[in-house]
Amino acid sequence: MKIEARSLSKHYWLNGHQIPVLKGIDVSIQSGELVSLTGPSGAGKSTLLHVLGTLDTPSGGDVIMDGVDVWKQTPAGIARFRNERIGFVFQFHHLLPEFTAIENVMMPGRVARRPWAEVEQRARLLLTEVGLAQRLEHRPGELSGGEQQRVALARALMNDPKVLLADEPTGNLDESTGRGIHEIIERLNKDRGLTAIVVTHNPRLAERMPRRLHLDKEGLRDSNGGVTLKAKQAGAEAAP
Amino acid sequence: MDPSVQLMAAVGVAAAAWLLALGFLAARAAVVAALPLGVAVVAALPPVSLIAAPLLVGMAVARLPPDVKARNGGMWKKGAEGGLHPGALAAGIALVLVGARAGLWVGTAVLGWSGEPVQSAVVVGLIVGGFAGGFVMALLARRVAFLEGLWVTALFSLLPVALADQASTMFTYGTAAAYFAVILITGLLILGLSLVLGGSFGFLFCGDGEFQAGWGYEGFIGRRFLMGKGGDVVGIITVISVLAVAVGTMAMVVVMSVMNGFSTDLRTKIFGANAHLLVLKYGSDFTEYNDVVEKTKKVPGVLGATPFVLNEVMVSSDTNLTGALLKGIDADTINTVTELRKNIDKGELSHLKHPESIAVPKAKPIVDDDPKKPDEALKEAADDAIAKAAAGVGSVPALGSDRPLPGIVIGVEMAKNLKVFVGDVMNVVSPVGELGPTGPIPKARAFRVAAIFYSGMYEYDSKFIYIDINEAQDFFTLKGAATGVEYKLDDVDNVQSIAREILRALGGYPYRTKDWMEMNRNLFSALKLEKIAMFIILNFIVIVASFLIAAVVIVFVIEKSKEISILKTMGATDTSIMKIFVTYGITVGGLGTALGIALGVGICWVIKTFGIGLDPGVYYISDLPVHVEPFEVFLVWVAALGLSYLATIYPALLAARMKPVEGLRYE
Repeated sequence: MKIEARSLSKHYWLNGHQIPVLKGIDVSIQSGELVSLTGPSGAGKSTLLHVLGTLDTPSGGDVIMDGVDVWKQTPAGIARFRNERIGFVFQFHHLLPEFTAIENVMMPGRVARRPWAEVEQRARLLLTEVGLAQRLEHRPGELSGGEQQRVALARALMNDPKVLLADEPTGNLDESTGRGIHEIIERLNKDRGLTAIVVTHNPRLAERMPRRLHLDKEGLRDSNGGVTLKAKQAGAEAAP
Repeated sequence: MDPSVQLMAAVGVAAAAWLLALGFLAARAAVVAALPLGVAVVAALPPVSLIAAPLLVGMAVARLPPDVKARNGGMWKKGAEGGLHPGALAAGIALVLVGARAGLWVGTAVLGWSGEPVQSAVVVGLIVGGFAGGFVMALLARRVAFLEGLWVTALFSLLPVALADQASTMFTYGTAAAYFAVILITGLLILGLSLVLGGSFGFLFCGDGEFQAGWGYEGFIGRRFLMGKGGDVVGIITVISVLAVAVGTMAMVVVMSVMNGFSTDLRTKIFGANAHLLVLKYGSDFTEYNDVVEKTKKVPGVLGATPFVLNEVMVSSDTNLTGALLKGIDADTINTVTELRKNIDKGELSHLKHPESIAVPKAKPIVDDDPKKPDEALKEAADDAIAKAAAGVGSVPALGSDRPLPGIVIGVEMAKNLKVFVGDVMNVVSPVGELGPTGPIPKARAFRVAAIFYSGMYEYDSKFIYIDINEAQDFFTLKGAATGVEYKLDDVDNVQSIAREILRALGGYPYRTKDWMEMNRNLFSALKLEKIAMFIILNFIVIVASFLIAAVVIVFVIEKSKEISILKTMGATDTSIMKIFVTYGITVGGLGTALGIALGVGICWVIKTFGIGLDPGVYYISDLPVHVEPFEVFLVWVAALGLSYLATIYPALLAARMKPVEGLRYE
């Protein structure tokens, strides 16, 4: 799925003061691209990801996905779009603690009101694919960090989305576990043509991506536009 | 009822409704303008809100971020304050006033509405109209339109002001302003709650711009949340909430049933002693009562008819005297109308017509020529008289007359008071006497007690006396006229339409009817008012319980903010989130009301089966009466469940309005 942002801006209101976060972002991501998004803390990486993923309303500008201006739709339309086309993975896996692994993975399918049996079968398949066939009936509290993140990934894939938006999916994991998650994302991109945007702090992981975006106070820079990221990022890493 | 009293009550209620709406508006505007909560609370106070509301709305609008205004969001355009626009407000008021008058005209002149039946139509109209109106408002505004609902309710509070002069046609009961005010407040509450209910349903099912009837995974998640994570606080609080609702519901069922018991008891006794309907005639020449009875006997709904004469008299015995209501009755047909025959405790009602068969205890002989002891002599005489009566042989005639003394039936309390028994003689004095040389001379006549009745109503047992109708006509020199004809009907609540039918059969004037509601107006209006007031007061128990539910759900929403966000990232809509939390309220309310009704009905059964003794000297009733009315239990169930649901609407909305990113931001 092609994602386009046109002069996207976002600001918050705090006690009557405007706090700008994103200022006039223009970006176009082609279908099947694997993109990394880096930048210093507070630069608005997560906000950009949320606005692109229809989780947050833009203050100005448009988000166009496959030629559809998403924010022109009804709330139900936006929710359905999110349900069918987009999969999210977060730094803190954000699983529902009351539900078992398989129930968590089934959840997007149940939100789509698909038949229970079909949803369960697919959830079982997905969990097997991420190597958790033995953990179906475990609650998140009984799983390790890496396992939890793999459940979250399986959940994101439940409705066979076109886009995967990952917000520091490995931020909470050790190096090798994190690499494992990344490998799964890369494989999904290669095998299924999944468009993926991965926010990361890890420069080594970002380097592996074919296309790299960098967001800081000055705005968004694109590796396709020939901007070198390494120098900038070293400075950013030093900052808290 | 004096129209000015109704107007006063209507104006008072309307003023209260408007102040409430203004207070709510002021508080909301203060919150939107980011003023401290204390300011919002003070601004909402009744007299302050009058000035504070417009000021605060202006301030809130001025302080609203420009992009919110640009998106028509918040309170600027789609907000309920649009209703406060002077033009809209004036139009609304004009519409209500003109609409009310026009509606009244259509209702009375075209559709022929009148009397009490209008009440239920009005209630149904308020419920259905309020529900539909709330639904449409929610559909248009894409939110539960609380403020709009409040404004509509405030506008409707003007309706009774406009129609105050007509209100008396709607109520058979009630003379007090307080009664009218309670009715109006109840009506407005019904409207307001219907609006909120309709609005919440409108939002729940169409709030996302599409019709969404599904409640599948929402119920699944809601129920799982309800259990808690095993030993979780929510689980315990859920149990406490269920118990709170159950206690409130149980109290309502039991108290309503006991009140019902008392009023049913009273009704039975009143209907036992009184007719359901009277036909009277203007003037004092109602001699053709037998024709009237014949003509009206066939009217559908009439079970029996009997003529009567009614007058106030004074009665005296050897030892005491008291005032009484003397009723001349036809002993043959009275049975078809009242329960007098059943209520006879001692003696025989038929002896009214045949006073010669009354068993007369022989008075203590003046000349003691009997060798037997006086007590034995008396006993023997009594036995003798009873034996004679049984054989139908005439007893000892009155002194100086060859005609036996006419019979009279009195109540047990009067018998106690006058110290008389069956067969004793008592005097009846009528104030309406013949004109003598020194003015009217009271007319007195001696009667013999033929029977003593016990109706269970102290008032009746101590005040009513019955004699034969012909005797009464003679005694009061009525020249063969009766006071009226009394009727027993198959459906006492349908008395008004049957009365119309009877009047039609008689050809109207000079006849008129008087039904049991008119005759016992004050008593039944007091009972009805007491019951409505009790229902409202007892509802406060459930309201307290529903506050508990609201508090629990708010805590719950805050605790689950992360989960709400995650569900939204998966594509759960706002209304789906609301449904998850509404599931909680409905489950708690459903379990609580079911438990409460089961307990309440159980307690009523225990009271009924085993009985709770009362002091008959005080209550004139031996056991605590209980009468479980299924419709009222249903009403209690609806009210308690509705309150539990209403309590969850706001917290559930808080959850629904939560932005997906809010819960994702922090860990």
